[in-house]
Amino acid sequence: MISSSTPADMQHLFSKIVQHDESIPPMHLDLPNETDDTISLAYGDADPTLFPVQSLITAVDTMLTGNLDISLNYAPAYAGLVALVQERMARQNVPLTRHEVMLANGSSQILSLLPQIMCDAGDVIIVEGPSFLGAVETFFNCGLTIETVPVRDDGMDLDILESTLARLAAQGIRAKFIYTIPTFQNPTGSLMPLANRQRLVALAAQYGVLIVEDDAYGDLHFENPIPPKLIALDPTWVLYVGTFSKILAPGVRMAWACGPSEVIKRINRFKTEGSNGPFMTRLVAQVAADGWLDQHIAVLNANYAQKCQAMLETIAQSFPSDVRYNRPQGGFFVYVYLPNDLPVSRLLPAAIANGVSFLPGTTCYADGQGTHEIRLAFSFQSRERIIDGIQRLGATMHQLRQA
Amino acid sequence: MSSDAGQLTLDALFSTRAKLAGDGAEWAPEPDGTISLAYGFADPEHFPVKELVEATAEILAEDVNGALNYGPTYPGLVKLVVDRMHARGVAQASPANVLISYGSSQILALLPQILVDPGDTVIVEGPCFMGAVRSFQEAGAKIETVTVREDGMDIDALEAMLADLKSRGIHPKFIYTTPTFQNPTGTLMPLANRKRLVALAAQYGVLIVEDDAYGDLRFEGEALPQLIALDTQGWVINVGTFSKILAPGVRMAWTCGPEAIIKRLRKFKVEGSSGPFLTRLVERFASDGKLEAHIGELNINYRHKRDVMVAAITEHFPADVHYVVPTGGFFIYCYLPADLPAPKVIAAGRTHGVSCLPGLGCYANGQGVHEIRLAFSYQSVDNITEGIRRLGAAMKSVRAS
Repeated sequence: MISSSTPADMQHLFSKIVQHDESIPPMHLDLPNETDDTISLAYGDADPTLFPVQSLITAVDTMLTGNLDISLNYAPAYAGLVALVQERMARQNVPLTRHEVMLANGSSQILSLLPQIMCDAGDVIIVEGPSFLGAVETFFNCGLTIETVPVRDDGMDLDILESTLARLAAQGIRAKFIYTIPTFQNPTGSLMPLANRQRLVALAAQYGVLIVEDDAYGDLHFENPIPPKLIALDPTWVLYVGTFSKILAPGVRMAWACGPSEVIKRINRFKTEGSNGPFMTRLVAQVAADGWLDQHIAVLNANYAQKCQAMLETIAQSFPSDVRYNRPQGGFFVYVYLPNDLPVSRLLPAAIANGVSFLPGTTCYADGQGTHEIRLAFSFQSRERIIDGIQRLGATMHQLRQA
Repeated sequence: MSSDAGQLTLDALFSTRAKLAGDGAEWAPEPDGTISLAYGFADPEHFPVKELVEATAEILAEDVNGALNYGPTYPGLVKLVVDRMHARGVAQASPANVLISYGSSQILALLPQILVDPGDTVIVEGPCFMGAVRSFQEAGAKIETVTVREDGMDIDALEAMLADLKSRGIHPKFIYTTPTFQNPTGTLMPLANRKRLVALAAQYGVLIVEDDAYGDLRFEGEALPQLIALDTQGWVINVGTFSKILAPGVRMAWTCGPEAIIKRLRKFKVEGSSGPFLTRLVERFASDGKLEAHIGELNINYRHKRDVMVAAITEHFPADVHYVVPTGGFFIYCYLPADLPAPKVIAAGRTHGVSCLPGLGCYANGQGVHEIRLAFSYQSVDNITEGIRRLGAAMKSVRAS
């Protein structure tokens, strides 16, 4: 029999979580694509000239010649890659058992699963402002109540964090987690000093809140050694998230999380596709083996340090003198604080007209701040295009002032 | 001020959903020397190694930034899937209603997230692929089981169930079915039943989740239209995978269905793309007819292995063990006589050095005590013959005891 039902009647089939999700308006960001005429300084893409093409081809060849069945059949993630992560973490004073580490398809997967395992609707989490837009948007979409703690030149403002935790506790609210990027923060590039790190982990223990330490840029330091990871200071309340995106290639989508086994176990449980599969995990392990990854990181850091320097020098020459910016010692970004008369809303359209784009600070906050802030990535573009792009941006700022 | 730190436990921080979820199953390896006919692994002799190595070199030579930087799922792979769906008569397939995922298990786990609230009803086949059913159960679904006959899901029983549920005010969310070379039974649903199933779904406003994992592994006979090709009103989600036709280890699958479903699956696939590198690699391997040629080779191989298994069963199993010779897929499903319950046969099989999947593990409702699944996909021809010989000996030993 033919029914009068149509696909339009399907709404009743969706779960409550879908209906909740769709009650939240989406964020929109519409920036021009990279072209010969437009220099995009917006996104923290990796430098494509440094991708290890030959190493990857050799690795595929080697792994398929030697381990055919376990590389291509149904199988768990390669234990050797977990061991490689354990070895790298142990070298940085983070000893881990097998149950305290997991692999994922990019750190964004881990960050997106966190609210699922940690939060019910309305729960409170604490993020830095500004912060990584991808994570912030995910948390926002989950319907969480987001408390924002400002980021200073030395990272998250811990006085404000402490007063926030105390205020919440007085209201009987226990925040679920604090999302922080203590090392070469995205977007500010700031580096949290040791004393602050110690205070942060102590606060987490005092208030019983999980710290989510996003360490995407932890290996990308240009000169001085960096302070210990939060998880190395006190593993009790820290979930650490690392990634191969910046040190190998984003396109392989390979990241790891480590921390309390109860948390790792649950993230794994909610990772819908199961393991990362043998093929990609063996490939990454094969490429990284025998010290190759450390050598590669040294090459990356020499390159990124040069490009960072070129950006900073050009900013000093090209931007109005009342534009403030950080001088990062690592990572992918320079963060810029604009004067009152140069809001992003004026600067961005004029800059795009002049063939350069950047990330508006407003996309790095959950609460509408950042109207006078911009993020400039030196990671993707060549040194020449960085200089060209910054000069265009500086010229745009001077034009707007004269207009 | 804060509360007493001694009372603050990590466990208290987890979400309600996380607390409700169980621990999940661990993979149990089998003892050395055992011939496993239990799992539907692909035949490692037929992995396209040279092609994958060449494809890697090609995609990196052509567009290293596209393959290795941040980026979306490769649109070329989406197009390849759309083209294949069009070739199978699925006119409605388009990039907007196709989603590439990390294995079909990801889709089968995401579907209940977007469709099932605790207590909702989901209809599945019995027996069927329990990996999927477990993910439905974890979402809190109440499972109703429709028996699989020699020609697939019993559509009369399904219709009666839908009518009964409706009379009780229950609106099931979806029907999970593998109409083509079903796992575990290997059955093929005839065209008339397919048409009736799709019409029932539209009549009752219930989605069909068509798991088509084995659809390309056809050894003989004409290809029947997929349910989604028969669906004119948008009630079918088709789930396909590269696991059986390329390699399970690459974890690459697709789904095609109503845009209202696909767009929500896309959003709930939290990690976004399925990786620029991997999606380009799979597309390059599969493009220019290479995938269809590879499938042709696989089917010659798997058909031969099926024939070897059937011949061995004929020779070594008691005559009162029943099975249907499948015309495609990975499995032969056996119905054992009353005096040969599967637990006893499997225990005896273990001492004879062979393993298989108990039918009990393929039902959500405790059936299948006298049923076993045998996979001919993974083992070599010699091992299939020897494994079936051992299993036949195990059955005879149970009967003699």
